[in-house]
Amino acid sequence: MTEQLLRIENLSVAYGRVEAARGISLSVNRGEFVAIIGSNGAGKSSTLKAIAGVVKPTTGEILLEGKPVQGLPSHEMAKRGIVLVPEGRHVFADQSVEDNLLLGAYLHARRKSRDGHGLEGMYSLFPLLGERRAQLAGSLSGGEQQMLAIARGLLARPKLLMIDEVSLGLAPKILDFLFPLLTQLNRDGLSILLVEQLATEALAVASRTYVMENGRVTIEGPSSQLARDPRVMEAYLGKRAAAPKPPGASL
Amino acid sequence: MSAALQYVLSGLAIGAVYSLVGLGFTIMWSSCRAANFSHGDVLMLGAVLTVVFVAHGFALLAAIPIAILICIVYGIAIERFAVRPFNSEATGIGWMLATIAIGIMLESFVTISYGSFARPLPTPLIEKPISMFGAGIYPQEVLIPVFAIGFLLCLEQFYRRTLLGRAMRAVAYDSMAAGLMGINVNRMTMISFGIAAGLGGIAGVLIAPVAQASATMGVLLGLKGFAVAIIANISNARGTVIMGLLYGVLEKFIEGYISSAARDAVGFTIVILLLLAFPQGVFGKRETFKV
Amino acid sequence: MSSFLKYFPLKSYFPWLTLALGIGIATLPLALENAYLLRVWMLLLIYALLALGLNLLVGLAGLVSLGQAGLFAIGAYCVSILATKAGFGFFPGFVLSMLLAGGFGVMLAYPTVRVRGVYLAVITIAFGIIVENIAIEWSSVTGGTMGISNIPKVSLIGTQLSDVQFFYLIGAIFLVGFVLHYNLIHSRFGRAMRAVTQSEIAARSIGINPIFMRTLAFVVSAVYAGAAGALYAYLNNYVNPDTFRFADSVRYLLMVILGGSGTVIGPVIGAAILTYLPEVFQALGVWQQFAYGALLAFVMFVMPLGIVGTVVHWYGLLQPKRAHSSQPWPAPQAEVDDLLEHRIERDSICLRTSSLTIAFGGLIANNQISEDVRTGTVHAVIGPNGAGKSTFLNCISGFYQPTSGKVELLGQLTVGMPTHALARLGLARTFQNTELFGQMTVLENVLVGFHTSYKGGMLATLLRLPIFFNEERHFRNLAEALLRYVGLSDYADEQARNLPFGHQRRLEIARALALSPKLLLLDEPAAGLTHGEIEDLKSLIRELASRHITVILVEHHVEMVMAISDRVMVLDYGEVIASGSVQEVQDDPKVIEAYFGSAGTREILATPVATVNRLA
Repeated sequence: MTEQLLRIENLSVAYGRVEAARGISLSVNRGEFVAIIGSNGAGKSSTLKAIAGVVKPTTGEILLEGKPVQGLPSHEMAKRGIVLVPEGRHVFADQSVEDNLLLGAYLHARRKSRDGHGLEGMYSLFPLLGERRAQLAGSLSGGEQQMLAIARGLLARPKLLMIDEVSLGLAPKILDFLFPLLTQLNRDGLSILLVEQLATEALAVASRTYVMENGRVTIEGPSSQLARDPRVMEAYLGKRAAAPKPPGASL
Repeated sequence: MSAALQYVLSGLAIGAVYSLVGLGFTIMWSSCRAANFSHGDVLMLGAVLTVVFVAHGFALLAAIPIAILICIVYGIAIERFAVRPFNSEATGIGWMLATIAIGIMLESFVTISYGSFARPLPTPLIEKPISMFGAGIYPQEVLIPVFAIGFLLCLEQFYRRTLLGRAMRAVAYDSMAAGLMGINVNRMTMISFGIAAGLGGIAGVLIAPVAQASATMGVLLGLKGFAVAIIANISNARGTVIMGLLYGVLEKFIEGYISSAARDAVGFTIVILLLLAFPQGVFGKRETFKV
Repeated sequence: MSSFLKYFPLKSYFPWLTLALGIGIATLPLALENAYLLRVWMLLLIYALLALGLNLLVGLAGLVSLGQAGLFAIGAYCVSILATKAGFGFFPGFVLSMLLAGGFGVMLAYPTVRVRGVYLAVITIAFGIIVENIAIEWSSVTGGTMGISNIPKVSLIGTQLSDVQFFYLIGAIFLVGFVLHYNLIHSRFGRAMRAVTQSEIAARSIGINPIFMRTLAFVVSAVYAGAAGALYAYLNNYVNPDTFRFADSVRYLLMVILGGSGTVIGPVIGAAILTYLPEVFQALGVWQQFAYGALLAFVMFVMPLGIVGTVVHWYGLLQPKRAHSSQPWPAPQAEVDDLLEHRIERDSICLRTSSLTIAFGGLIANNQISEDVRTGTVHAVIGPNGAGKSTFLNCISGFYQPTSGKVELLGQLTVGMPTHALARLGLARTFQNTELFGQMTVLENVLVGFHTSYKGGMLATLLRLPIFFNEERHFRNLAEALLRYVGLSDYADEQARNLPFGHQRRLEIARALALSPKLLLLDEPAAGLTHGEIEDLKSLIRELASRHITVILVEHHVEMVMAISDRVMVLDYGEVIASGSVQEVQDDPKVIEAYFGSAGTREILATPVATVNRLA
C-alpha cells in the first residue's frame, strides 16, 4: 500500500520580489524515489530549500505524514526527518571527515555511544571515506565530498532524503557509483527526492519524475513514461522531438 | 636586559587581557558575523561586581562565580535584544550602535551606583612580587597569561573534541548546512555570546587586582581587544591570543623606549598599518571575491 | 542602514527650505534673550555642519566612521595653532584647517580600497584615538591636557566681530555647507555614491570607480569636519582634548542616524536635538549619560530610519497606491536610435579570447578558451551548471583576472583592466541575479548609467553652473526615452526593488544600454521570466544585434538560445566542447552527453532509428 510521506500544495518561494517557485504541488510516497528535473533557474533548488526549511515559503502547505510543517526552521525539519543534501555539498571543510559524519548524527548523538551512530556502516557503504576519515573534508575531491555529504545526510536518519544536484561538477565515473547507490538505498526502504539536471540519469533511477520550468511543474508522471515524452527532450535541447539522430542515422 | 625582561613580563600580563577580550570577539563573531561592540563593558561588569560582592562580605571565591554568571546572562541578553534584530544588515551599523547604546547605559548605571572612582580588588596574589633576573612581577600578573593560554588550549579542545564544539564550528563555517544537520543555529549563537561574556567577566576579575575596577575601565581594553582580534583575523582564536600577547609586549616596549605618552598613538598606528598590509588579518586567509 | 532618498513629494522644496533656514538664522539673535543661548545656537550650527559631512559618508557612501571626532579635532587644533602661534587671521586658518582635514580624509579613505564594515570601523576608531592621544601628549604644540586657551576672537577687515556677528558668520558658512551638501546629493556624484553602496559590482559594471567615490565621500566629510572644528575653536576661544573622544564620534554618528541618514535635513535635526538635549537632560542629574544611551537604543530599535527618514517613509505609505502598467517592449524611440548608433563594421571582430584560462586554487574554471565574437552577432554560451559560463563572462568584463591567455576588445588588449575602465570602452553587462540599485528609483537607475557620459565636473555640480542643468536635462530625457524603450516609463518614480522580477530584468538592460555599449553581456536574462516576457526579450536581442551591438548571451533557456543565436559555444568542465551554428551544436553528440549524462548518450545513440521515428 502506498502511504503519502510528503505532500506539498501550491508552494511558492520568493526572494524579495523574485518568485523562484510558483504554486508547486508534488508528493512523495513512503519508500518512493522521486526526481525533479528541469533547467537551471527553474526553481528546483528553491523548492527543496523551502521543504528543508532553509527558506520560508511565501504561500502553500508542506505536509509531512499529514501534519503541516511549513515555515519551521531547518533544524526542526531535520528533527522531523526531512534531510537535505544541499547543492554544492556544503561539507564542513575545516573539520575532518569523521567530524563531519558525527555532525550528521548530531540529533542522535546524545542517546548512543560513538559506534552506535552508524559511522562504521557509512564507512562500509563508502570505503573511500573510511580511508580518509582523519583527513580534512576540504581536502577531498568533489566526488568524495558528495559522498560525504550524502553519508552525513544518511546519518541524520531521514524519513525523506532530499538531494540537490547530485551530479554537479562530478565526473561520469563517480556518477556510475553514486546513482546505483541511491537506487540501492531506495530499495532498502529510504524515500528519496532528487533534484537533478542530468535528465536521463534521473529518469533512470527515479520511479516518478516532475519536470519544472520557470518556477512551475510542467510535466509529471512515471519516469518510464517521461523518458519517452518528446516534450522532455525539447525542454532540454530546444529540439523538436525527432531531431536527435544518432550519427549516421540519416543514411 | 632586566628592563627588557620586565617589559616582556608586564607586557604579557596586559597583553593576555587583550587576548581574552579579543577571544571573546572571536567567539561571538564566529557564531553570527557580529559582536557586542561594548564587550569591554562586560569585563568592567565582572570586575566591579566582584569588588562590590566582596565589599558586601562575600568570600572572594564565592563572589567571582556569581559575578561571572551575571556577565553570562548579560551577554546572552545582548545577543538576543541588541544583535539578533540587526544581524541581517550589511553595514553592521545597526548592531554596532545598538550594542554601544547598551554599553553606555551600563557604564553610566555603574557610575551612578558604584561611583566614578576606581577601587582595588585585594587578592592574595598581589601582595608580594616575584623577582627574577632583576625584573619583578606579581603572581596575579603571571596568572593572566597562564589563564589565557590555558583557556585557549581548552577552547581548542572543546571545539575539536566535543559535539557541541563541533556544532559551533559548523555554524561558524556554514550556518545553512549546520541547520540542515539539525543544529539550532540561534541557540549556538546564544551559547557563544554566553561563553564570550563569561570569559569577559573572568578577564575583568583577573585584571581588577592589578588595574583596579572602575566604570570606565572597559572602554579602552575593549577597543584594543577588538583591534587585536581584527588584525589577527577575527575568526582565528589562536592567532588572536598570540596577537594580544604581542600587542601587550609591544606597548610596554613603546612605553619603555619611546615614551608612555606615545603608547596608544604608536600602537594604533601599527594596528592601521597591519590592517592595510593584511586586510584579512595577519593570521587570515585571503577571501576570494564572488560576483 | 542605507540611504533613504526618494523623490521628495515637493520637488522644489529645497529653495524654500534654504530660505526658511536663512530667515531663521537672520532673525534668531533678535529673539534670544542672552548670550548663553546664542552660544548654544552657534554650537548647534557647528555640529550640524559636522553632521552634514558625516551624512555624505554614512548615508550616501555607506561607510561608517567612528573617528569623526579626530577630524573635528584636526580642524580645531590646526586653526588654534595657526592663530596663536603664527598669527593667522580667521579665513586663511579656516581654509588651511579644511585642507588639512581633507588630506587626512584621503588617508582614511585609502583603507576602504581593501577593508569595509567593522574593519573600517576599527581603523576609524584607531584614528580617533591616535589624534586624541597626540593632542594630549604633544604638549609643546597642542598644550597637552590644558589645551590651547588664548585663541583670539574672529576679526574681519580689522574689526573684531561681536557675538552676534560671529553667529551670522557661522550661519552663513552653515548655509553654504547645507546647499553644497544638497547639490552633491542631488547630482551624478551623489547618485554614483549611492550606487556604489547599493551594489558595488553593478556600479563598476557601468563605469563608476568605487574607490574614487569612497575617497570623495571621505574627503568631503573630512572637509566639513575640519570647517566645523575650526569654527568650534573660535567659538570657545580654547580647545582641549576632552571634546574629541571616541564617545564624541559616536555622538556625531548618532546625530546622523537620529535625524535620518541620507536625507537632506535629517542631520541638521539630529544635531539640533543632540545639542539641546544636554540642556534638557541636566534635570536628570547623574542619569544624563544613561538617558543618552537609552535614547540611542530607542532610535536604533524604534526608528532605524531616523526622524526624517521615518516621516518620509510614513508619508510614502499614506500615498494612494497607484497601479502601474508596463508597455510592450522594445518600443522604438528616436532618442534611443541616436544613443545606440554605432559605426562599427559588421563582421569585424568585436571580442577575441585566446587560450583564456582561469583557475581558482586547483579548479580550472575556464580552460584554454579561444573564441572570436563578430560584431553585430548574438553569440550564445551554454552548458550545464558549473561549466564555467559565468566565470567566462566575469573574465571578459574584468571582474576576474585570467590566469593566462588574452582578451581583446575591439582590437585592444584588455587583460588587467578594471571593470569600470572596460565599461567606458563600451562593454556593458547584466547579472544572473539582477544587480539593480534597489533603493534608487527606476529613472535614477538608468540615469546613473550615464554617469561616465557627463562632462561637467565637480565644480559645475557644486556651483550649479549652467552646464549642470543642461546635462541633467539632456540625460534625463535620454533616460526617460530608454524607459519608454523597455516599456517601463510608468514606473519611473518607483523604487527599483519594488518592481516585479521581469521588469527588473528590463530595467537592468535599459541601464546597460545607457552606456551605449558596443558589446553587451547578458547573464541568464530569461531566468525567471514568463513565456510572454521571453518572447519580448528575444525580439529585443535581435533588434540590438541589428544595430550592430554585439551580444554575448549566457542562457539556460535553450529554446530561446536556439531561436536567436548566430553562434553557440558549449562549455563543459570549463572547456569548449562545441562551437558553431545552432544546427551544428544541436547535433553534436558531445553536447547531448553534457546535457543528458553518459547514460543519455548511451541511450540515444543506441536508440534504433525506428524508435525515434515512432516517437515523432
